[in-house]
Amino acid sequence: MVEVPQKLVKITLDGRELSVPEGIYLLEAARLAGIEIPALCNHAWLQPLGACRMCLVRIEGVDKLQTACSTQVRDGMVVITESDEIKRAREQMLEFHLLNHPLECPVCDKGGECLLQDLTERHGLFTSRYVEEKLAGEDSLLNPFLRISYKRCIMCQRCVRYCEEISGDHLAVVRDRGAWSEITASRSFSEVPSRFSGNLIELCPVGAITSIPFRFHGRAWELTKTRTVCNQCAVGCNVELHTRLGKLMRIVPASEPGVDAQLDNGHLCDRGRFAYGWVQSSERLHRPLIKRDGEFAPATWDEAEKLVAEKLTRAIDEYGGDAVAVLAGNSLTNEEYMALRIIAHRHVGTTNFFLGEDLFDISRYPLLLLHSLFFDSASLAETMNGDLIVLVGCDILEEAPVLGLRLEEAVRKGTTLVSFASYATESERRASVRARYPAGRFVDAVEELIVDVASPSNDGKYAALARSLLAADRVSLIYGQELLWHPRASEHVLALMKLKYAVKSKREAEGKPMSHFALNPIFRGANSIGAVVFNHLELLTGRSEEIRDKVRASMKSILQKAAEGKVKVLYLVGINPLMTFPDRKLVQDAVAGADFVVAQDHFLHETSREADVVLPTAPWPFKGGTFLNFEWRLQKLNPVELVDDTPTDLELWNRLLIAMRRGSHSTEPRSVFDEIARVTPPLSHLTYDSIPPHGSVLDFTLPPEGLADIGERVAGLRLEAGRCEPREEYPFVLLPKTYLFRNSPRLRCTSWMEPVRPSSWVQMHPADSKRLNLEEEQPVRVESPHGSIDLELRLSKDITPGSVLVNNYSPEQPVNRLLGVDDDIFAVRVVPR
Amino acid sequence: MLQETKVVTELAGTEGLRRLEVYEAHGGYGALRKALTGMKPQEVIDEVKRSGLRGKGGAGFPAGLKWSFVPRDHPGPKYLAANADEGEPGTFKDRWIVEENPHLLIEGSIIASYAAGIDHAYVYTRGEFFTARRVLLGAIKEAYARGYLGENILGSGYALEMTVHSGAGSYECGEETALLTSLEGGRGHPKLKPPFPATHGAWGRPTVINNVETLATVPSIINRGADWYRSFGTEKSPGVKMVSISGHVEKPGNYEIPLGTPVRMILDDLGGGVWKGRELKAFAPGGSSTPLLLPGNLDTPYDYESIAEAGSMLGSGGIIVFDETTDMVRVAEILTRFYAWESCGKCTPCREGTRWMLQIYERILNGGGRMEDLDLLLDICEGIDSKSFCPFGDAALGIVRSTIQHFRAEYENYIRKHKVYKRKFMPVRHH
Repeated sequence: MVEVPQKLVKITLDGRELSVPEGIYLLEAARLAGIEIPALCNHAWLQPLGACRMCLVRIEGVDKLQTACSTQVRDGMVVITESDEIKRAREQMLEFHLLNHPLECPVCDKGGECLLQDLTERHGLFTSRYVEEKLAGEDSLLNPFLRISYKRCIMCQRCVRYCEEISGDHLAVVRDRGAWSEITASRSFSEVPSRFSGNLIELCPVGAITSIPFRFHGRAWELTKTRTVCNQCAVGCNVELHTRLGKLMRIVPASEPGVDAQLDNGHLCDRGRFAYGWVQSSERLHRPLIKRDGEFAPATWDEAEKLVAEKLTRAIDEYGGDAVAVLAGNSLTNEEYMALRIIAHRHVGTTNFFLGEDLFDISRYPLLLLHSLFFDSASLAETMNGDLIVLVGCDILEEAPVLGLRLEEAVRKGTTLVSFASYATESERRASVRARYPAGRFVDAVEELIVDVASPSNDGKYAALARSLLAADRVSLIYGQELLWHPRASEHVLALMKLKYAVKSKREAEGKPMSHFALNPIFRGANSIGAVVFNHLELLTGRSEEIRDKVRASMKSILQKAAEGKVKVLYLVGINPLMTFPDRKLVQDAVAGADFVVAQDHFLHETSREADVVLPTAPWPFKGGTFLNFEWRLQKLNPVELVDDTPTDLELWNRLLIAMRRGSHSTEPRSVFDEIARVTPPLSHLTYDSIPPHGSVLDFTLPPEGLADIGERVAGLRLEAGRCEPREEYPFVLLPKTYLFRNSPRLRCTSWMEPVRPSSWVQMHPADSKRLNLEEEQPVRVESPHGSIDLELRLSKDITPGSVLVNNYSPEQPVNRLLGVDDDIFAVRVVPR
Repeated sequence: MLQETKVVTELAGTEGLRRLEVYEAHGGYGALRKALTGMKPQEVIDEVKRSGLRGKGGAGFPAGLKWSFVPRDHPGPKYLAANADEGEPGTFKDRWIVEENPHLLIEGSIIASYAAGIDHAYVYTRGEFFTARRVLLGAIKEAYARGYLGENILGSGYALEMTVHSGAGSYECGEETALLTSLEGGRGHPKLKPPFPATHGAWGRPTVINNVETLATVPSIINRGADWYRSFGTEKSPGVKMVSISGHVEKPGNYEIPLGTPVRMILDDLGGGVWKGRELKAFAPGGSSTPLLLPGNLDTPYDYESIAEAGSMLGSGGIIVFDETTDMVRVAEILTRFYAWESCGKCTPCREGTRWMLQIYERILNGGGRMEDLDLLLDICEGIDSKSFCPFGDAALGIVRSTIQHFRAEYENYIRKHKVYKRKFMPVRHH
């Protein structure tokens, strides 16, 4: 597709001649010209409504005043936005708006950031002629996070339209009629999944919808605002942390809707917005803990550092550097990853370190795999402007919610969406093709799809999907947790690469080469991409051949070594593998097999509870550094201006190195980043201070040396189909699904998140439950060769018969008890209990 | 003595007219046969255009022209919505048509659908039209059974489905775009125009919306020709119109007259004159939304142009008569309550303004009026006038403005003497 240059039309606005893009609304055109037309119901996210009537303007030749928000520009249009007539109309409309609006700005949370307040200041009259009784109604709850004050509502219906046009959950609806209209929740909370409801807070131009966690916690002008990047998922939404009196008071989006549209466009998911209470939670650790006789006891930093330094030194001295193993989570900053890499290599001298917890094993074709991870991704802009978005094994609204919204926005603007998954998800609601593969059989399914790509006219199983792949010139394939949170994740990625080159070569054979075919993984962590980069920095520093033969340690191999007793000190940084690694037994063995386990974390959670020493470091709001999001956008975190009593990770490591007498490391993210940029060619144009506010998408245009023939290499790949068949006694394929709300420590330690904490259940198709004589809500036991968990049965037609689906993060009944890291298929059976 | 000119009401009073065989026995569905077997769609449109048939729901838009806006080559279904959401106080002609002669509406709808290339016709009935709905469902069933609806109608190859959709009881849904949102299953709120329903109507498809009376007039035009229809009425307002006469007259009811007949003749000869031998105080010429006219306007010809010239509107044809004893402030209060309660609540001026006016009226009638309230009422009217989203807002203003204009003394009487209107009961708005 060729970019069509935007056609311009000429209009006259208050006597000024302007050229503006054809088809835009007058309100936007005025904004482009720097003319402010007041409006209340209009919003950049939403279709025009024309309800508040604040934006009335005079168009020459039209007898009535027209609303600028809903009138598209026409060539030759002559518009007046300022005149006595319009001034009067605005005063009248404001008077109408204020009739039933209570004068309670002094106690309203919105005071100071209220659009109605601002417009009244600018355009309104300060006296009211209204002497009648105001309508008043009781406040009610929209959901556990949102309170609606019905008397403050001005019926702009922004919330209703958001729930209809954007989130699609129809949470807020209008009830009753006329002046008695009121916004209300359409259904009870349990029936409406809360993903984006918090956006209604900023969307509301008055104080009708307010945040329950933030209510009465501070006035807008008293809050100190720090711009940073959300650390909850791979999107990395830009957020503002608002602090007051030494506390984190709320998190709001930092982007202005319609203006900062690069990434989140001002949307934020409910987890990113509301899950912050843990920062001030009493559960958070502030002092180190040392385990003595099986019990943790608080210790001073000196004691703890001395103990850890001594254990590390002794292990290195007695058994060599490889006796120390480091595992780090996927939400650390790039600077921390770089520091860990350097410390592990240079100061400790171990090869047993692994960053991130997303790819458990990349031992097959590591170079090809990493090549895809590093070079196959597309930016969000490329994806949104492309022809086709393919969601594969990805429930995007759960895994990366705001990205899901942006993709839906692209679909509304004309991009096609197709989906390929083993069960039905809400994320597919706008997909034009929804293809299903049998649960656990992804690799086989891709092989079949490749056959259909080769001859799309044959009525193959996946012919519709194949045809849509072949019809598009710019494709972005987004794959998610169903493929990635799996022992065979790397095989899944290789299969997708094979698909990509099959489609590309078919198109080339037809004389229609594709412009691009991107493969974007959606990992779980906020900086999973950073973890991949610093695990395999050689690819960027031009020594890619090193990877070909030498596979660096993987999470799996490190855990195995530890389980075998080859690791003396196991050092865990911000990671909870007992919950997140798909083999609980192996992690338990590893923790038991290591002589000494150090956990650097903010909480006592499943894994840190098993450690010998817990070192609490400063959590995310207090950290600087950078993240790489799913589209390789490098974004900068800024610490809030509060003093925390815990050291940052960089500070702690420096102190440990000094205690070990093994040199020192910078504690400043700025200098670490500048060092990274110096040695990493794709970053060489950047310094810490020059990273733009919205970040910068890293673009690797140069193919790495030696991989010019990647297409042929991938085409020649022999994929390993699943080796083991589901056995008779374990007839179901288990689907451990990643949900937006998981029972992680951060959610557990935020009191108001209680209502969204998931319970433990297993989903089964009604056909299967009927066969097994099981009923909805019946207590069942899910068993595999590795273990069992007790759950409650839920019936769902979204999954296919023969598979069962569970939440993959449920501390009481951890799903990884059922899993083994060498499993091809998670085979289970379900029995009543 | 004025006699009725019966076109739509031609068969009024016929025994068993609701039944298909009776309707057929009186020549029913002859026009449909003529149109489908002998005329091309464009010929039907041309004939109706030539007849000058204007929409009879209130706006008076030429019907044939409306049909011609529907894109011929549009892929996918196209819809007709027969607007039977007759809610205008003082208007009850459509209910009569649907209840007494349902097949006339069905026949007219099929012809209109054929002309505009419609695939599916909906009849949107007002929520309170229980009988009308029941009668219509029965008639549609008969029409399907006789092959007037469904596949290959009368062997012409033309297919049409027809469905009755009952509203939930809202005046606003008579506005065409609100009718469409309600038809789609949404809240009865009007939509932005453009795009217009003719191209982006129900479910985004081309949709024609016609008033029941308009559609019921079509069979006669097809049967007897445009020239015959044009022989009634005036040059600019050709044809006939049903009027619903209500209020203080001896013989209230539905009548059909040629447009251009002087109002005095309609009221005296058909309506039997003002009741109880009293004098006329005022009348609303076209439903409650139209500004009041005075006895001095009685010789005005009843057509779109002349009534407009007199300062009001012909509207839906509901003539409401007020005798000399009527308390006009109370009339204004009653109708303002109607508009406040029926405002859909979408746009600010109508939602807030109508309730504000109602509150002021209630205060005046409770003896708490202030002289400045009259200017305030007019000011609120000005704030709503031409600034509301749909024509509903303007509709609420006629009664307020014209009573203040013509009967200011009655208001002043209330205010000066702190007169209290003795209510039998105070209407309560239930949630």
